[in-house]
Amino acid sequence: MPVVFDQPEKDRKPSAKKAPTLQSIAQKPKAEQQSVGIFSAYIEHPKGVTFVNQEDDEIVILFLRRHFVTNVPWITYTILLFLVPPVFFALLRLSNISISGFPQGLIVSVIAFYYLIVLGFAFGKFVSWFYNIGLVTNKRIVDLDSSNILSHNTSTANFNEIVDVKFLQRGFFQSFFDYGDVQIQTEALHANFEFDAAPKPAKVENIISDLRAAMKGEKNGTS
Amino acid sequence: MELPNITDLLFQGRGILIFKVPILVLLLLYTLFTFIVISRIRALNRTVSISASHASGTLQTFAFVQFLLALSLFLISLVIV
Repeated sequence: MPVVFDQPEKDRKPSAKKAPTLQSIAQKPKAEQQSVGIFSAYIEHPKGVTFVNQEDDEIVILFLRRHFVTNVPWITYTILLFLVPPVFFALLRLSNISISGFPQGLIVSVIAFYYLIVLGFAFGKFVSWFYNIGLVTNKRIVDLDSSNILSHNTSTANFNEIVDVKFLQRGFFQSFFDYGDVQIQTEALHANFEFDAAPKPAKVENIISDLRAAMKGEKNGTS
Repeated sequence: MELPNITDLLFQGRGILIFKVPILVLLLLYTLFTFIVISRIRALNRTVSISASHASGTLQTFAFVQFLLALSLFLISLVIV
C-alpha cells in the first residue's frame, strides 16, 4: 500500500506522558522549600515539618490545612459576642433600667468571665483549625483530625492502599476561593480519607495521583 | 409592716452567696479547662512539629496566659464579690 503521508520523526510526540519518578517529586532544593507560617494552609515542600512516627527517609511533600476563609464564621461570632455586653448595657440605659442595686464587684467579675469564655471559644476554634493538618509524604498520607480542642485523631495510609483520589468543589465560595474536599478512597479495611476544605484541591489531587503512579511504577520496575 | 427590699436581701449578708458560689465554681471549672488545654497543645505539638515557625510556641504561650487570666479572675472574684 502506498504511503500517503508520513509524519517526520522530529514532530512525533510520545504517545503517553512520561510519569514523574518518586525521586523527582520528593526532592526539592533547600532554597525552594517554604516555611510554614501561622496562617499557612497550603505549602509544597514545607521546611521543618516533622510528625510522630516519621521514618528517617520520609520527606513531607505537601502540608495542608483547611482554607483560612473557613474561619470567617467563628471570627464573625467572636466579634458579635464581644459586642454583646456594650449593647446590653446601652439597651438598659435606653430603657431606664438601673442595675445600681447589684454589687460592682459582681458585675465586673461576670463581665470579665464572659470575655474570658469568648476568648476561650475563639482560641479553641483557632487551635482546632491550626492542628487539623493533612500531610502528604513520599511514602504515605497522614491525616490529623481535630474536631474540637479536646479530641484528636491521627490516621495514615500508604500509597499502595489508595484506590481512588477525587476532589469536590461545591458552591460559589469554594470556586471563588479555590478550595474543596479532597477524597481519598482506600482499600476496604481502612477508613476513607478526606482533606476538608483544602486549598487548590485539583493540585492536591494531581500530586497524590502522581505519587501513587510513581510508587506503582517503582514497584513494577523492581518486581 | 413594711416589706424588705428584695435587692437588699440578695446582696447583703448570706444572700450574696447565691451569686458568689456559682460564679466561683464556674471560674474554677474554667481554670481547670484552660489547664487541660495547655497539656493538649503540648501533646499536639509533639504529634506535629513545625520547627521553622514560632506559631506552636505562640499558641502554647497564649494557652498559658489564658490559664493565668482565669486563675487571677478566680482569686479576684474570691475577694471582691
